[in-house]
Amino acid sequence: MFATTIKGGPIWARRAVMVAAAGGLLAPNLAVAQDMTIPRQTWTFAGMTGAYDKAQLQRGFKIYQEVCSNCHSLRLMKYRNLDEPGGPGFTEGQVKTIIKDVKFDDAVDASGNPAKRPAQLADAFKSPFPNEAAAKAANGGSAPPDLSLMARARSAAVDLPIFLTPIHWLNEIAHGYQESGPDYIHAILTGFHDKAPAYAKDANGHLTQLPEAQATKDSLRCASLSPGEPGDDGKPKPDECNALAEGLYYNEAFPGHQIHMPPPLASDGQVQYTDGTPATVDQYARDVSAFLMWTADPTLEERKDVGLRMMIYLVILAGLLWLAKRQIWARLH
Amino acid sequence: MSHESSYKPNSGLGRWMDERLPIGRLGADFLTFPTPRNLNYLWTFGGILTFCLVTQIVTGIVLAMHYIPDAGLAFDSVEHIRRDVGFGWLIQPIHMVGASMFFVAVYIHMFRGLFYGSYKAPREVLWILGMLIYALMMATAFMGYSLVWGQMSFWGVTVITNLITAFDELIKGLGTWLLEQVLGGYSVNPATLTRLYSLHYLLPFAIAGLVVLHIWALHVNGNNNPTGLMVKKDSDTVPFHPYMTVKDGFALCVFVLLFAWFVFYLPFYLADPANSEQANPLKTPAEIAPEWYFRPYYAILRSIPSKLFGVIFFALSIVLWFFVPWLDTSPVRSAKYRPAYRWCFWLFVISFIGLTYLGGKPPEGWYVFWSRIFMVYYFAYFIILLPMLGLVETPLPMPNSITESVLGSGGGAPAGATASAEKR
Repeated sequence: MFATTIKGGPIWARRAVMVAAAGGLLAPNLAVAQDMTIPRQTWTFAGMTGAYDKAQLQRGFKIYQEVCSNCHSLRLMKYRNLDEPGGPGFTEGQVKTIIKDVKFDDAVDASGNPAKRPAQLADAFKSPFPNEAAAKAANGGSAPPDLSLMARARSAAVDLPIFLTPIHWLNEIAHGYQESGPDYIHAILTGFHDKAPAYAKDANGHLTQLPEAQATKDSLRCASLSPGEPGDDGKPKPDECNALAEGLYYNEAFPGHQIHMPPPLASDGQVQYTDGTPATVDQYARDVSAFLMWTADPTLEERKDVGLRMMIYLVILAGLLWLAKRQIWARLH
Repeated sequence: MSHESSYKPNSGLGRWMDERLPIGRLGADFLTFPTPRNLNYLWTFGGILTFCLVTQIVTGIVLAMHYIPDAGLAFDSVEHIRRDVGFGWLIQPIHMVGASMFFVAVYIHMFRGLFYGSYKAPREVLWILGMLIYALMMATAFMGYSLVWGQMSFWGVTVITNLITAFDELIKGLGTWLLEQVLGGYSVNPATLTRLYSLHYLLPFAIAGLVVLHIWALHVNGNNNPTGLMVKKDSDTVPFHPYMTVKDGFALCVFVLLFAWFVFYLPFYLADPANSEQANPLKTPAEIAPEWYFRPYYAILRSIPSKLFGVIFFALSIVLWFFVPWLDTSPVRSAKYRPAYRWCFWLFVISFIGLTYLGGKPPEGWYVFWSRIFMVYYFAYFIILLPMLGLVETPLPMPNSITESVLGSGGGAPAGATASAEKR
């Protein structure tokens, strides 16, 4: 897609540069305030000795297969990853069953016609759409993003007063907190509401949110509020209501609260669980978030395992070096 | 080596070699190099930085064996390293976290030099070599970050290279022409990626060469020390080995402990989540912020409403570091004996940290206000405080020698009295 940009670059490239120059240097304030604090969940893979729950990854994979994979690709994952250590722990036979009906385009057959071949363990997960244009066309002009790294590409931003920020960072560092991505994905998947919140306008034009019980048919529905611009008298005008746009869905966790994705996990019982785990939307969201953490970080278990030994080794070595240092420097006295 | 060599080759081969290429003498003199006995743990960061450079080069060479500098393949090739290359899951995070650790160490090293006046005569060239290393480190880190070809890589390169167009305000068309030469096109494109890759592989070796010169210059006049006094007699120093090797070794081990914590438990903590998305020239990220170690300068750049002056002050904020040996007029090196300078120094540290924080925040409201306050202090420190303080400040009384500062004026105080000095 870059092939023609060396000289006489396409108009989008030049425009993109202008946007970046203006946006980056002057005021890149395109972000909509994210006014919901993403709650932190408990994950088995958190902490120094954390590891994936194999049963949870298998359930998460099921959710991906039956729900997410209708629109979202996982291009960095290969079928063989499913039976590799540190993952969902399927057997090779189970993986072969999973892929037995998957077909990929192959070279031509003997008569020169396009051929299909069965999927192999080394193949990457088959994408739901043959290309990005098809993905866009099938989804109202917005291609569903690849999910391979989603658990790393999103984070649950915390807005804290400046004096608490260093303590917050040190706390996260000391705990090895890197589960912000799955927290965010869980919040998105459980954050859909049928309607945007209801608001009432007072005499001065200010908007106040109403509890859903008090909302009427005529209540204003606002996905978010934009601060009113100052008028001629210098006083800021009342906040403006951003109604939910056509074809978008209200999501309390999504920045700006208007999301292209229809609620993928609509009701309890949508996906059958066979291991006795409650088949609820919250559980689905939790399982698929854990699964996506694994796709984003498939070597987490090996890393944490080696890491723990490395830490023990380094602490002992540091202790010995400190004693050696004390002894050698004692000669000076 | 500037100190007198005590090396005596004790074999026939050793004597033969010493007369032809005295490499054994170089090593031996390194070990006997006299170092001030009062160095504190801030002086261990030179060794730590050498470790960081070697780590980056070794891991980088391995990564280069698997990385593909092609706009369509670069991003996935990094993930391929993490997933499918043997020990790639370890080497890639070491290189990525290593960049941050390198800057943690270099900032401590620089501010130590600033506090104890390590840049003053006769160590000006040592300081300038260090600043050249720092400048090349920033260039290398910037290019390395771009190679990931994530969203922040792409848009970071776009925004930073676009600063060049500020020259259009001086001569119409100059900046745009320069930008096209730098990028190899009108915008960031595949040719940009390959040249960034080439230079990212080249510059670390230039850094390594400068490090050799930096250490050479260090060995001519010897280490500065917390008193700032020059070494006057043998009792002021201890041989580098075993005293400094064991102390540096311990400090390095503690540093590696922190390093490993990030590598194993927080590999992506310091990375922008947006860089885990592949570069998309059609989609500008909501906020473009550089890595934390560039943020003080980025905050200065954005504090100034004019693009041209923003770029000028951005460049000046880095260039000023090179002139510190001549901006500081005080004959006293160490801030320990400079009561007024000490305050100015710590305010400077606060400003620098403040700018680092603000460089990652959107340029609006109070963030801009505080960026400007810190920026004014940043420049005032170099241009007003450093030159003026030397003229008006009354230094505190200083010990006569390094030995006296450690052992007290008696020079031969009992062992009990030295225990506290040893803890520094």
